[in-house]
Amino acid sequence: MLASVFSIAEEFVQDLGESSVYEASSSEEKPLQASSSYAEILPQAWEGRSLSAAEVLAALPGVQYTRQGGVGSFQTVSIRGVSAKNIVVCMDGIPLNDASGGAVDFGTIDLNQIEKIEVYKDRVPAKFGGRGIGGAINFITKGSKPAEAVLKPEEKKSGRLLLSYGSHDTWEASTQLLSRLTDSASVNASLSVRHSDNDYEFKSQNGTPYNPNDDFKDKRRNAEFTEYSGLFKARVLHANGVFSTLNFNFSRSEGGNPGRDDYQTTVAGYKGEFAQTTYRAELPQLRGWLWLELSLTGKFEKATSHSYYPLDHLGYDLPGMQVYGTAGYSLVPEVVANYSGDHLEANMRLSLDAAYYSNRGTSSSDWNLMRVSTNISGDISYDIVKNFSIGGEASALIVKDDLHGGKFVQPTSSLTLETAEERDITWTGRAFVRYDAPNLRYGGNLSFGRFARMPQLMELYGVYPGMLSNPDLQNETALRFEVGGYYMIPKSNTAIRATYFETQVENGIYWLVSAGFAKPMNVGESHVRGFEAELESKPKKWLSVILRATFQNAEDRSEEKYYNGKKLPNEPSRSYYAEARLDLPYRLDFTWTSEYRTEIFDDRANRIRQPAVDLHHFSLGFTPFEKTRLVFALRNLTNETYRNPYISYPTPGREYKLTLTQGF
Amino acid sequence: MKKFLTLATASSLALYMTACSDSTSADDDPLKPASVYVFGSDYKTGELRWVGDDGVSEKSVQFNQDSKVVGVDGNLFVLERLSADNLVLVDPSDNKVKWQIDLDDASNPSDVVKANKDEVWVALEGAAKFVKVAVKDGKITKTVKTDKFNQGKATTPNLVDFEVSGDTLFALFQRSENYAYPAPGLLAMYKLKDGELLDTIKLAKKNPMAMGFANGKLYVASQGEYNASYGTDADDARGIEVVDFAKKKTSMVVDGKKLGGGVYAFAVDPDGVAYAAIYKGYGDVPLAKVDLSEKSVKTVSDVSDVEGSLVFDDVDGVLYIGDRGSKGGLFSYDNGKVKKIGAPKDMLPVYGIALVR
Repeated sequence: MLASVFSIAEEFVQDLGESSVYEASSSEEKPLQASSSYAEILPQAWEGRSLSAAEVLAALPGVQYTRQGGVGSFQTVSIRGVSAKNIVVCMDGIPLNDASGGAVDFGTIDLNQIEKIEVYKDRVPAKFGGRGIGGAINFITKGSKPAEAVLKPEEKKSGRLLLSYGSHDTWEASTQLLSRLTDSASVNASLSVRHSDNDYEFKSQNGTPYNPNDDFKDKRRNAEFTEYSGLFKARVLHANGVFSTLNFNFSRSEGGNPGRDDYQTTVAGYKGEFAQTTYRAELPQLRGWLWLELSLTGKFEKATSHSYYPLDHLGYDLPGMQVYGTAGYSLVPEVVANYSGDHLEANMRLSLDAAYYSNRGTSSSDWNLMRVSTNISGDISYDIVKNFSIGGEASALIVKDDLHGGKFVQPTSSLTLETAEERDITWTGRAFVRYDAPNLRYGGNLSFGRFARMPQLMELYGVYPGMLSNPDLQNETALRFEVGGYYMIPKSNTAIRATYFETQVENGIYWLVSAGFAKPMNVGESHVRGFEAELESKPKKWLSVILRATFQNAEDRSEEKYYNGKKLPNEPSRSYYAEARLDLPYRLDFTWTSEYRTEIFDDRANRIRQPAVDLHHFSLGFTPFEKTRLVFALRNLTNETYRNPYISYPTPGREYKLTLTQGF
Repeated sequence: MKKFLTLATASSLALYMTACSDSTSADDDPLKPASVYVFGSDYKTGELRWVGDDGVSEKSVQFNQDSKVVGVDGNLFVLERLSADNLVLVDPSDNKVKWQIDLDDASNPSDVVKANKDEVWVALEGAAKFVKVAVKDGKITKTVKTDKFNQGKATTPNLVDFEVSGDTLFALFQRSENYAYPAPGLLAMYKLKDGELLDTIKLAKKNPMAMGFANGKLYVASQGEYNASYGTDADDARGIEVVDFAKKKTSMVVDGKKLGGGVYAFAVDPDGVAYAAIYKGYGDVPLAKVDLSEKSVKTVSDVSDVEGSLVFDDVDGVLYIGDRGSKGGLFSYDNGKVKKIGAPKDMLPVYGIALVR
C-alpha cells in the first residue's frame, strides 16, 4: 500500500467531483505531504488483497472499521472517533448518505469500479457543509484520467480484465476499456460483477453465553451476496475550449440478511439499486483570471429489505412476505468559480439539490417527501510569505422539506405529521495556517473549525413500529482542532508525519427508548482527542515499509450518568498498522500487513466488550509479463474470529483469494 | 360450565385462604425479608444488580437487553426476551447463573410462576404455547398450546402475564394482529397441575398488560390502542377491570378518563390498592395509586417515567418503582413517601424489579 496511499498538501484539492487533471501516483513516487489529514488511496491498496472498502480505509491512522459478516455485509468506518453516520461519503462528489438514513454501507461499494479514494479526516469540505462533522470520503470512479494520461501516443485503446476466486465461493469479474476516439474525445467503460456465498463456519453459542454445553459449529446461511456495477464516461474537448465530461455509473446489489448467529434466517434479504449521471462543462478561462465549471447530476437510489414471517423471525412479525424500503431521486445543478492569483486562490460554489423520496414495498401506507437544499460555500487561501499561507472555508446550507399529505411512515405504521419543521440555516466554517511547499524537508499546519450535521430524514420524520420520529431535532455540531507536521529524510526516502486532533461534539443524536418506543433525541456530547503518527519509508528499491499508530481518548460526555465518562462505541484507545513490501526475484513481490487495535465496546454503556484484535494478512504477487499479474492473498492468517457472546454477527476467519489481472 | 364452576369454587376458596399469589411473592416463608433485584437496560445491553444495606450493588451480571426478572419460590428467573429468547435461573445465594436454556426463536418469555415445588410455568408472548420447566435443570417437561386464541392471522395470542390462585393458573392474552388490537384481551384459566384449559373470559378492553389479585378479586389493567402520536388517550377505551367469575364477564373499576391514559405496568396491594404506570406518551409515564374499592385515583409525586416496572411487596407493604426518567432510578414507596434507593452512577435505567424469598 506504500505510495498507493499518500497524503498531499493541497488544502483546496477538493477533488470531490471528477477532475480533469489527475495527479498520477506510482510505486516510484515519493510522498509529499503536510499532514496525515488528507489522503488518497489508489487501487494497489486493494486489488488482489481480499480487502473491503472499509478495511482499506482503516489502514489509515485515525480510521476504525466495523463489519458484520463477509463480502457485502454491512460495514462502516469512523474517523478520529466520530461515528460513521457523521461522515460524508460521496461517489464522484455526490453524497450517498441521504435516502435511507444511517451510515453508508461500505460493503456494497465495489472497489473494482474505483480509481481513487479521497479521505478528508480533519474536516468536511465546505461543499458538503451541514451534512457531516466527522470528515469526508470520496470514491472517484474509474476513467477519471484523461486518455492522454493513460495511453501512449501510438495507442488508440487499452483495457483490462480482472478475475478472482476465493474462499466461500467468492468470485469477481471485472473489465475496463478506454478508447481514444479522436485527439479530443475519449470514452471509458467498465463492467463488474462480484459474488460470495459467505457460507463460512463459525462457533455458535446458541445465544446462551452462560451455557457452554449447547454450543455448536454452524455454517452461515442466507448470506449470499451478488453485485453488478458499471460505468461509462465520455470526455470531449470542444473547439470553443469547453471541456465536457459525461459520466454514468450504476450498481445493483442483492443479498441475504442472515440475521443473528443463533437466529439465522431463510429468505430475508435486501436489494439496492443506484444510478448516477453527471454532465460537467469546464469553461475556458474568462477575463484571464476566472475559471468556471458547470455541472448537472441526476441520481436514483433504492434500498429495500424483505422478510417472510414466520419463516424468518426478523423485522416485523407480519405474516407473509413483507417488503419495505425507500427510493430517492435527486437533481443537483452546481456552479463552481475559481480564482487563482500569485498569492491568492479562491473558490466559490453554489449548488442546489432537489430530492424526492417515496416508500417502496408492501406497506399499505404511502408517503413521499420533497427536500430542496441550497448550499453556498467558498474557500480562500492567501500566501503571506513564501511557503506560509493562511486561509479558510465556510458554507451555508438551507433546507426546505415538504411532507406531501403530512405523512412519512415506515413500514407498517403511520403517523401523520402536521408539517415539516422549518429548519434554520446550517453553517460551517474553518480557518487554517500552513507552512508547506514541494521539496521542503519539514512543514506543518494548524486548523480550527465548526462543523454540523443536519438530522437525517428518518430521524426527523421516519416512523417504524416501536420507533418515533422527531421533527424538532437540532443539528449535531462539532468543534474541531488539529495541528500536524511532517519531516522528510530524502536519503532513505522516508516521511514522518504526526498530527494531534481534538473534537468536541454537541447535540449528538441518539435513539432513546421510553415504554418500548425509541425516539431520536439531541442528548449526546462527546470529546475526542488523539494523536496519529506514521512513517513511510522506501530505504531500498526492493523494500518499502509503513508504520502507523493512533492513540485516542474518545469519551462520552452526555448528561446521562450511566454513559458519562464511558468510551464511545467502537473506538479503541490505540490502533497500529504495519506493512512491508518486498520486490523479490523472478518477478515476484510479497506484501505483509499486520493490524492491531485495543479492546472496544459495542455499546455506550461499555458493557458489551469486544476483545483486542490482532490480524495478519499477506499477498504474493507474480508478474510474468508486463500486462499480466497473478496475486494470491491470505487474509486473517491466524484464523481469528474474536467473538463476543453479545455480538451476534459472526465474521469469517481465514480467507484466501486468487486474482488474475490481464491488460490488453 | 362444569369446568367453570369447579374453577370458581376452587379459586374462591384459595383466594380467601391465601389472599394473593403474585409472581414475585414468597411461597415457602412469607415472613422472610425479600431480596430485591433490579434489572437495568438501555435497550442495548442489560444487567442484573441486587439491593443490599448500602443500596444497589456495585457488582452486576450481564444479560441480554430488556430482560424480565421474576422471583419464584426462592429462585430468581431472568427472562431474556425477544431476539435472545432464553430462560435463566440465578442462584440468589451467590447471584450466579445456575443454568440458562434456549427457548424457541422469537418465543419471547414474559412471565414465570410456580407450578409445583420442582417446576415452573413459563409464559411465552411470542409463541402460541406456554411451557412447564424443571427448576433443577431447565428442561421443558410439558407444553400447552394456545394457538386457538390467535387473533385473525396472528401466529401468537400474546400471553403476557400469569397469576396463580389455589390450583388454578390464570393466563392473560393480549391478542394483537399486525401491530393492532382488533379485539379485547382474553383471560384463560388452566389447571395449575397439568395445564388443562378450564375456561376463558373475554375482557372488556384491548391490549391488557397485567393483572393482580386484591381482596379476593382479580383485576386486569389494559393500555388500549395507541393514538396517532403513539401515546394513549384519557378515554374509556382502557383502564382497570375486575373479573366476575360467576358471570364470566368483567366490569370497569376505573377507566382511562380517571387514570389519564392507558396502563403500561401494574402492581396490586392485596389489601385493595392498585398502582398503575400510566403511559400518556413518550417519556410521560406518571404513577397512579388506585383505591379499588372507592374507585378513586391519586397521582404519586416525585416519579415521572415509571415504565421501569412496579412490584409490590405484600409482606412489607412496600411498592418498588422503576423510573427511567432523567432523574430516575429505583424507588420505594412506603407509607405515602417516595424514597430513592442509592445506586452506582453507572447503573442502567431500571427495566425490571423482582423480589425473592
